[in-house]
This record gives sequence, C-alpha cells and structure tokens, in this order.
Amino acid sequence: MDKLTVENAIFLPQVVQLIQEGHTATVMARGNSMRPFIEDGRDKLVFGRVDSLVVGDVILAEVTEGHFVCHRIESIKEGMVTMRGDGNVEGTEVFPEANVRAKLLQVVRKGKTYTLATSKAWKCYSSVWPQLLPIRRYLLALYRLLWLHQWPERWTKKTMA
Amino acid sequence: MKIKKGFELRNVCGENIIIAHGVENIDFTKVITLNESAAFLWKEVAEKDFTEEDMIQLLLDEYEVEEPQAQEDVKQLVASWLKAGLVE
Repeated sequence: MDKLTVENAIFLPQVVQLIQEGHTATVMARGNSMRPFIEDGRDKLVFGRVDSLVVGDVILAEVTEGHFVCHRIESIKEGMVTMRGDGNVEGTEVFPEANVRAKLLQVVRKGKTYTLATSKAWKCYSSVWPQLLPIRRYLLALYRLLWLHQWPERWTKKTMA
Repeated sequence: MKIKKGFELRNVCGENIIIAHGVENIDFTKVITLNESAAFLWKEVAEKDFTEEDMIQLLLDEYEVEEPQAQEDVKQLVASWLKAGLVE
C-alpha cells in the first residue's frame, strides 16, 4: 500500500477539526517519546474529543502554534498544563489548558487494542511508570537493549577505516 | 451505478480523501485518496446514477486523452471503487 506522509503542522489541525466535529481519528504513532508503551511506526493512536482532563491523561496539545505534541499530563495548575513524554527523562511542555486539542482514547499496540478508560494493563502501567521517573533513564536504556536490541553506540566495535 | 450514501470527498492537506460519514472513527492509517482526475469524476457523478460510459465521456470532455486510454482508466477506477465498497 502507498504511504502518504504529511507534515504534522498541516495534518493535525485537520484531524483536530474532525475530532471537534464528533469523530474519533486514528493516526500512526511517530517518535520515541512515549516509550515504552507506544512505539514509533508500529502502534496506532485513536484520539477523541476532550471531555475532562486529569493528571495522567495522555493528550494531543498544540504546545505552541502549529507544534503538536502527544504526551502525558504531569500536572494542571492555575490553568497551565505540564506534560512529559513517557519516554522522556528531561524536558516537559508547559502550556495553557486551552491548547489541549484531543485526548488519547485507545492505543492499537502490536495489533491489540487497548481502550485506555477500561484497560487494566494501561491503568497499571499508567500508575506505575510515572512514579519510576527517578530511575526512568536506566529503565529506558534496558528497554532499548533487551526489547529493541539497540546497543549503545559506545559498545559497538569500531570498524577499521 | 451510484456512489453509496455517506461518503464525502474532502480535501485534507492538499489530498483528495474519501471520508465516511456516520462512521465514528476516521482511520488515517488507511484512507482512500483520489488523484485529481478521479476526484473530478467523483464530484461530477456524486448523487447521480451513472455508467462507465458517462465517466468516459466526462474524461474526454475535461482532459486531453484518447478514448481507449479513458476507457481503460475508467475501467480500473470503477473496479477499485467497487472493491473499496464506495459504489453500488
């Protein structure tokens, strides 16, 4: 099947519009910032309208104009949302609540659909993973090593030129 | 034949995409896109009863194309629309 790649800044506003019209929208996950649950190019994300926002929700936000990010809410204070990718150790995004564009409802992970509101696996992961932030760096390194078989570059043997 | 109810041609990011109305979820990981001439035909025959001959005539009127080529293109397009369940 042909693959059509469209720039996020152009594509996502139209996806958001369809969501506001009452549809849900399935898009391919891009990037590594929601590891270990969501993997780039493998998993699909189903977004829907935002009815309520609580800490722990994964949302699509327009952090700044035309710059869309899908991460997990870490805190909501005085109308400002802070979010961080599950796969990010440092770096958060802070923006007004009004910039939240959609909420992640389902993840199709390795072909299996997880409905976030009811999935026990997701709830368990969502309650445990954020608390492991202090050791997240090491967990992610292990994940890359054991599950993705990505060896740190400094471990690979240099080939003679 | 006729385009089934509930399908709408929309321009999303410069691409002609068929969106199914009444379908709650729009799956962008498998969308049907139409090229310019297919989108032209879609707009012309929407909400009408039409035949392959009508489509061939539309192509001949709009584009500089030889009839055998237009016949072949329409045949392929109709086959793909039927396969995708867009027409009845």
